[in-house]
Amino acid sequence: MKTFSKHVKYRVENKEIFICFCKELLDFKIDIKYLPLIQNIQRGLNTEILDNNDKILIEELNRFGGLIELQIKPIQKKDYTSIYNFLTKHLHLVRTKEFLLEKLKQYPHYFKGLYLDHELIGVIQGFPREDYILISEIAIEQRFRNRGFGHLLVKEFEKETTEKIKVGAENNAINFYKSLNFKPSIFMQFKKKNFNQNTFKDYKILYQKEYDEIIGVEIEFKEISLYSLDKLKNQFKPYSIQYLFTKTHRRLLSLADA
Amino acid sequence: MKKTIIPLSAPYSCYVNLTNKCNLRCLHCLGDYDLELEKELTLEEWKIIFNQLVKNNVFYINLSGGEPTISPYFENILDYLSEIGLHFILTSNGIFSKKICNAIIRNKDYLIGVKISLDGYNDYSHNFIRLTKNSNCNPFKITMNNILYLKENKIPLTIATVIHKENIKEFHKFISLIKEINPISWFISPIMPSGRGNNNNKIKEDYYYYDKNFWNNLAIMCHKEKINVRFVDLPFDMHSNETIDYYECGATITFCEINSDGKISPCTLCRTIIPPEYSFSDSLKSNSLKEIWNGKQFQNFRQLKKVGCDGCKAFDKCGKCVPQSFRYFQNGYSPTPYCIRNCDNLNLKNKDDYKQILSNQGIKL
Repeated sequence: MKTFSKHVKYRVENKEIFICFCKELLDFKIDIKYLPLIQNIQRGLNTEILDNNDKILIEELNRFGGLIELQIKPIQKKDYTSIYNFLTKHLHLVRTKEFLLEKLKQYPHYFKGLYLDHELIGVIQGFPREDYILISEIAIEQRFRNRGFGHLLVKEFEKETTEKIKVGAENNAINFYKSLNFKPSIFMQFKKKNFNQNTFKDYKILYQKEYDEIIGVEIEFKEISLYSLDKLKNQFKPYSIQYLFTKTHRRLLSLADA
Repeated sequence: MKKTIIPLSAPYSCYVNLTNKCNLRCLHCLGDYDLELEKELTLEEWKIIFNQLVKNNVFYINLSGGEPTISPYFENILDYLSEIGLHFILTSNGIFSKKICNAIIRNKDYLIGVKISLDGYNDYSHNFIRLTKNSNCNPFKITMNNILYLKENKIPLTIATVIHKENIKEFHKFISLIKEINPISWFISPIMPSGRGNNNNKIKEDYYYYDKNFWNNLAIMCHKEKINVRFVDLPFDMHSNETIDYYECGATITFCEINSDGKISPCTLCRTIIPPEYSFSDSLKSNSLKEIWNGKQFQNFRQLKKVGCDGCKAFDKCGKCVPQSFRYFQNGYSPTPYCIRNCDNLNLKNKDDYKQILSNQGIKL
């Protein structure tokens, strides 16, 4: 798969596409008809399946060093320190390294890195829980966000299972899961002494569990917005609150239909 | 006369003055830089601005000042630009510590190049236009050491030189030093009639600025030594179409300047020359880049680029230098001295009136 090198940027101006090779301060203008191709390259594209017109442009971009290899590779145990540092740099909360290393040992197929040439720019990892697979951490380096690389990682993760997939979203990622057609729900945690079951009478409870002094509740909730999340926070005053997103595999959907 | 100018939807690149503060007091300084402004942007404010530039697909920025390396946030800003992937050029006088050198080196991935001012081939000619607070300081020596250190560390370099009385006749010697540095480009420009450059006439060498043969010979000498010389604000820099030279300025069309207090202007000269009634007061502290780029102040400026200069053959192509028009004619729509000097080629009207006004200001054409 190929994508633009980190030194290539583009934008659309007056029905033309400006492509800038920033390190060399070279720029090109190409016709707007190439926009779908350019957008696909930005997201990562298999360049072997293109028609001749598109191939000419690809060759030209290659000639100036504008394209680079994009690969998703399994994470190796020996690399895990750098992977863990990457995650702690980009996420607010990361599980402990020892815990994740243990999960990597047990479920290596759920641990993947995204590499631009040889540079790590993204990570997805997870492990099974009860009746679903949890995406426990996913991160893309800031300068490569909004390019569709997160989608690539989730799609690759999905290939590894036919089970339901769940992920807890940081607030800045809720639109990302929305764009992947994951179904939203809300997960809240309460200290036992502050918990009142009756307050949930207007909501469908999908899951509830007690552990130590904490009660966790997952409720059905279809709206996806930070405003709604704030409203629920004010209504329930939980210890913590976040969106959960769930993807149900086609296999399970057809079973449900049957 | 009127013409159509289509500005980009957002700037292609931006000049970013990290601070007004400078560690030198160069006699030719067009920005009259010395102390920091009252309300310079904080690191957090800069970060918000850089994020905005990325969001608007600005391709790269040019970090400048004052002297950008003495901004208290210089190292943090370089690290942050690398973090968000915003490419940058650094323009500096070369007076900085090894610590700064190392910050530049560690951020070289997104660094396009470092442009360093070198205005002479030895202590005397380089320091001729420099004033320092510390009389023991030898700017030439410090700058050269840093140039060589950055070169050793494979940092792409360009050299910027202004023409002054003590270097103009020594360019053949200067070429040897430039060859040793081997920069990507060597930019040569005149002292601009702005800031301290407007007042210190004793350092200027006006006569040669417009002698095309002199610069032609210099270009040939550089070419022989494989030096990529580029003349800025000199006849060679203006787009040549056989006999017609004209300005190609992208201020408010492809670029703008963000000053250390957050205010945006078309370019440095606009900020320093254009009088207050036309001044550019919109600030990124209270407006977005897009709002200012499409706002009234920039639109008024674009109007000035669209009108005048009567009769000019290059009118449709020219990106007129509006601040020069203010500087010499106080109106924003008259031609520049360079154009007036070439008025016959350009077919400019009212040439005698223009020449008289310039002559009254002591400008010989």
